Amino acid sequence: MIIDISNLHASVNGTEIIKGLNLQIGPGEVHAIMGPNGSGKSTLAQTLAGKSDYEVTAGTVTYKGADLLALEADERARAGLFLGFQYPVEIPGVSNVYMLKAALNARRKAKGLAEIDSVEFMRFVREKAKLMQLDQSFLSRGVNEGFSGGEKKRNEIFQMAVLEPDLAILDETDSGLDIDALKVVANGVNAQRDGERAFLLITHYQRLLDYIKPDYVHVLANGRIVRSGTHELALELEANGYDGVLAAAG
Amino acid sequence: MAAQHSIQLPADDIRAVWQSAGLSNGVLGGLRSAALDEFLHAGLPGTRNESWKYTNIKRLADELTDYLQYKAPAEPDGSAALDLPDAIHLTFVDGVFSPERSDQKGLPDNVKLTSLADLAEAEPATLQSLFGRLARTHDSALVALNTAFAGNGVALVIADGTTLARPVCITYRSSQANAAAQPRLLVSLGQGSKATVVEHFCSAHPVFVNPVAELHCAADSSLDYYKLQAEHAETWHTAVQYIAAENNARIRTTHVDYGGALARNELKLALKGRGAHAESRGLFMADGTRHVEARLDVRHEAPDTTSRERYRGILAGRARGVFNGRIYVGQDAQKTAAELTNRNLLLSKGAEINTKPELEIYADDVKCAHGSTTGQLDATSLFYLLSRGVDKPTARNMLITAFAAELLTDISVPIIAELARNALESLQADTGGIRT
Amino acid sequence: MASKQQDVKDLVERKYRHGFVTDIESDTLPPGIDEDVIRHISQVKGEPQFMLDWRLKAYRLWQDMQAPNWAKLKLEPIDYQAISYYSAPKKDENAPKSLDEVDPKLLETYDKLGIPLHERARLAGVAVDAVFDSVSVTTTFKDKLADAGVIFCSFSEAVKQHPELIERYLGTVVPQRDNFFAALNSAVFTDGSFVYVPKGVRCPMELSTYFRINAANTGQFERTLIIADEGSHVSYLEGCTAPQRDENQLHAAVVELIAEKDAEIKYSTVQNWYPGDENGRGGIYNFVTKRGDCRGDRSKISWTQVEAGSAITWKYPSCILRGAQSVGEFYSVAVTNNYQQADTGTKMIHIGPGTRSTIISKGISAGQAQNAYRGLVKMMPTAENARNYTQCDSLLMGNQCGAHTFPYMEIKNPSAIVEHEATTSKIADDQLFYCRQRGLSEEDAVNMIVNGFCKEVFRELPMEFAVEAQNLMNVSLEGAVG
Repeated sequence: MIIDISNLHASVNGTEIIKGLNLQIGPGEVHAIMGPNGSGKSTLAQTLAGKSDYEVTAGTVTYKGADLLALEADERARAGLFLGFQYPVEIPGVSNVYMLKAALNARRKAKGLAEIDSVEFMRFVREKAKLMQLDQSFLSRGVNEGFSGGEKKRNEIFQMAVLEPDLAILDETDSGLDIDALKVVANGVNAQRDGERAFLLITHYQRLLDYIKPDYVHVLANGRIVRSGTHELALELEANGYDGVLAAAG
Repeated sequence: MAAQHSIQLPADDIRAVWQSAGLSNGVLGGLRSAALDEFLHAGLPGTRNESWKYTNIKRLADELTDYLQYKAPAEPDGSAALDLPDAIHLTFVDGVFSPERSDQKGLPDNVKLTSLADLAEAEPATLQSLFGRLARTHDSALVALNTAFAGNGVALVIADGTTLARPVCITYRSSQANAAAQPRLLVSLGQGSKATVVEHFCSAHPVFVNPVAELHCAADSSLDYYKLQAEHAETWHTAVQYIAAENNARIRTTHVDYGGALARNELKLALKGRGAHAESRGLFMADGTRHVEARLDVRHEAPDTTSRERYRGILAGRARGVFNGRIYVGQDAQKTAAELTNRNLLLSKGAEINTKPELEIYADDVKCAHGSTTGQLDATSLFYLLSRGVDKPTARNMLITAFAAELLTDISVPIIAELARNALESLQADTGGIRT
Repeated sequence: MASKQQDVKDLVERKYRHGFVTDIESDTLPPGIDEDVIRHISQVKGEPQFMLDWRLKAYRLWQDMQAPNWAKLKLEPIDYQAISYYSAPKKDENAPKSLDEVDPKLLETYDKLGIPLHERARLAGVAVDAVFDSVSVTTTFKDKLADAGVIFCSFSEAVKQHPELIERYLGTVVPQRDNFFAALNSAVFTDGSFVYVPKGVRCPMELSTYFRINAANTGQFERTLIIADEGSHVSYLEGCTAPQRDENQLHAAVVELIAEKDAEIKYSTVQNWYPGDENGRGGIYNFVTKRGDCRGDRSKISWTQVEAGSAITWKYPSCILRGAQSVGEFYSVAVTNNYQQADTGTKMIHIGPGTRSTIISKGISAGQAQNAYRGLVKMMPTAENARNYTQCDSLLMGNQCGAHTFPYMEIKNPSAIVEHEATTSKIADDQLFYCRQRGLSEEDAVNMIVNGFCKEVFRELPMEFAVEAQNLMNVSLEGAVG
C-alpha cells in the first residue's frame, strides 16, 4: 500500500470540506477522483500535500507505512509525494533549473544518496524536458514566470519527471489545456507509469482519462467518495452528468 | 532668505489682534486661547520643514497680521452655490457660518445641524467631544491657527442607522479682500449611517482661507466626501481634513483643486477600525504662476483595512505642482492592502511638478504599492487619434480632457466633474493651446 | 548567526597591510580634532601645500556644519573629539599565526560565503606569509595595468605621483561643503584608492579590493577618486562579502567618479561591516558619500551595491547626468536584520538632454530592523526628453521590522518622462508552499525566493561576486525565518 486514507476530515478556516473520506492506493495503481465543483477535490490534494491552512480534524493517512500527517510539507515531498498544482504559482527571479536542482538534491539526500553533479543533472533534466517538449530556454526562466496556462501544466509534469515521486497527485492538470497539450501531458504521465509509481488524478472531466487509463475511478461529492468503479464509471459520468450519478448514489 | 524650519511671527501684534477680535469667550474661548499660544510658539512652517519643502509661505507670514485683523463680514460676493437642487445648502462668509444664508429645513429628526456657538451653549460636552477630536493643534501650526481664530463653525451629527439621502453642500464665500477665513466643520456619522458632504470653496476676493474639517465615521458608516476649491486667483488656501474610519466604515473622498494663488490641501485619513476601507481621488490643476499642493496621509491602524488612492495633476504655464501621498501601515494592521497612484502632466515649458509617494510600513503581512508617472500623453493613443484624421492639437486636448475625466467617473455630484472640465478647458485656452 | 558574528567580533583583527610601507608607521595621534591635527596628517603624509589648504578649508567649513538629524534613523550622538584621526597600524602579538588557530566557526562562515582561501587568512587577521601570495598577485596585475596606461594606486601615492590629477579633480564632484560627513572626510581622510583610465583605454581587468594595494586598513575616512577619460571603460569592485571587523565605529568615506565623453564606469560594492549583535549593541555607522559625474556626452556611470552589514547605513550613490545622452544606473540590495538600520537610495540629477537613468532597489527587512529607500530624481529644465525608470521593492520578514520608501521626483521639463513603482509585501505563502512541496526546507525555500527577489540586482554584479552576494544574503538572514 502506498497510501491509506481512513475517515479523513479536513477543514479550511473552520469550514469542514472533507467529511470522512476513505481511499487506498497500491503501488503502480492509477486512481482518478472526479467530482463536481466544490466537492472537495482540491482540498483533498492540498491537505495530502500538507498546506498549513488545511486542518485535519479527524482520520488517519498512512503513507508508505508512516503517519503522513505528522510530516511537514517539505518532508512529505522528500518522502516522494508530489503535488501537481492546479494553479502553479510564479516565483520571479528563481530559475526553474535552480529550484529543481535544489529540490532533487533535497530528495536524494533524504534517500541517503549523494548530491547529483551539475553536468549529470543538466543531462538528466534536458532529457526530461525533451520528453515534455519543453524548450531549453524554459529551464533558465523563472519558475512559472510569465508562462501560459498550458506551459505551467507542462512544467508541473516535467518537474514530476525529474523528481520521480512514489505518489503523484495531479490536481486538475488537464484544465485549461488544448487537445495537443493534453496529449503531451498524458504522454508525460504514461511514460512514468512503471508498475511501482502510483498516481492520483483529480479531474472534472473524463477527457483526460481517454489518454491516461485509470485502474479505478471515484466520485467525490460533498467531501466523501460516493461511488467507486472502473473507467466505465467515468464514461457513465460523461453520459449522464454528475447529477445522474449522484442521484443514483443516493 | 535661507530656508528655515519655522517662520517666526510678530507674536505681540498677533496676540493683540486676537484679543481685539473677541475670541476669548465661552467654551470655545478656552480652546482658542490655548491654540493661540501653541501657534505663536510654533510659528508658520518654513521650507526646511519636510512637509513644506516645496511650498513657501514666507510672504503669507509677512502679511499674516493684516489678514488676521478683525473685519466685520459684509455682503458676500455673488458667487453661486453649486447647482445641487436636492442638497441642504449651508453658507459660510469669511469663514463664519451664516445661518440666515443657510437652509436647515427639512432635516430628518435624527440629523442635528447646529452652529458651534449654539452647540457650545446647549451642549458644551458634545462640542468638546467633537472639536479637536481628530485635529490636534500640535499637528500643525495651521491647525493651531484655525483653532485660535475659529469663527462660528458648524457641527453635523448623524445618529446611528440614519441615511441622509440629501447631500450637505457647504459653500465658503468671501465678502471683502484681505480677510482671513478660519472655518471649522465637524461631522459625526453614527454607526451604520450614511451621508454625502460637499465643501465648496469659492471666495471671489484675494483672501487667506485656512479651513479645518473633522469627520468621524463610526462603525459600518459610509461617507462620500467632496471638496472643490475654485477660489480667487490671488487667494492663499491651506486646508486640512481629518477623516477617521472605525470598523468596516467606507470612505470615499474626491478633491478637485484649480483656484487660488497658492492652494494646499491635506487629507489625513485614519483607518482605525478593522475592515475600514477608503477610496480617495484628487485632481489638481494650475496655470500661470499658481502653486498647488495635494497631500494625502493614509494611516492603516487596524487589521484588514484597505485603501486605494488616485491623484492626478495637470500643470500649465509656469505653475508649480506638489504631490505628497503617504501610506502608513502600523504594526497591528496586518492584511492591509493599499495602492496609491499619482500621474501628472506638464503642459508647458516652465511648469513643474514635485511628487513624492511614500510607503511607511511596520506590518509584514501586507500588500502595498505605489506608483507615480510624470510625462507626456500616451504616444500610442495620440498616434491612434492622428491616424483617424484628428489634428494634433485637438487630439492632445482630447487626451488631456480624458486624463482628467477618467478620474472623475462614478461621481454622485456630477456638477463637480463638469466644473473641473470647464476649468481644464480654460486652462488649456490660457496656455495658448497645448504645446505641440 | 548572532553567535557567529560574536566570534567574528572576537576574532577578526585587521592587522595585515598589503605591503605599501610609509614612514609614518609608528605614528599615532591622540583623540581629537583641530587644525594642528590636520596639519600633522598632511605633513606625515608628505602632501603638497594645495592638499593642506584643501583640508583646512574643509575643516573650517565642517566646524560651521551640524550633524544631520534624520527622521528615520536612531543613533547615539557621536563625539568627534573622542576619535583618533590618525593611527598607524600596529602589530598584534596575539594575532593567530595560521588558519589552524582561527575559530572553526569563523572558517565555517567563510566557507558558506565561498571566500577564497588566501582571502580568509587576511580577513581572519592571520599575520603570516601565506597571504603574501596576494601581494605578488597584486604586483603582477600592477604591471599589466601599467602597460595599458591605467593608474591604480593608493590615494597617498597618487598625491605624490600625480598631484596635477588630484588637484584638477579632487572635490569637483563632492565638494568639501557637500555635507557634514563629506566635510569631515575631506579634512582628515588618510587614504583610499585612485584610478585614472586614459583616453580610449578599456581597463584590462576588474579593479577589485581583492588585489587592492591599500586594502583593509585605510580606516574610517576613506577617499576614492576614479577618473575615466574620454572613451575609456573601467569596472571597480569595492568591499568584500566576508564579515569585516573594524574597531572604528564611524565610517565616513567619500567616493568621487568622473566619466568624460563616451566613458563608462561601473562601480560595485558589497558592504558587510560588523552590524552589531542581536540586541543592537555595537556595529559600524556607515555614512558614505558617493557620487558620479557624467561630464561628457554619452558617458555612463553604473552603481551596484549589496548592503548587508553595518549597524547604520546612510548612503546615496548618485549620478549627475550633465553630458547629453549620458546614462546613470543604480542597482541596490539592502538587507537588514536584528536592529540594523539602513537608509539608502540614490539621486539622479538630469541636466543634459536625452539623459536616462534606471533605479532598481530591493530592500529586505527582518528582525527589528528598519530599511528605507530614499531617492531623488530631478529633471532640470534643460533635460529635454530625459527618462527615468524606478522600481523599489521591499520584502518584510516578521512584524517587528519596517520597510519604507521615500522617492522624491522634481520635474521641471515637460518632455521628460519619470516613472516610479514600488511595492511592499512579505513572501507569499503560496510561493513558500510550492517550494516546500518540491521538497525544500523552509529556510532553503526562503533563501531561494529572496535571492530571486534580488536577481535583477545580482545579475549586475561581476560573476564571482554575484555568487558570494547570494550566499551573503542567506547568511545575513539566518535566524530571520520561522
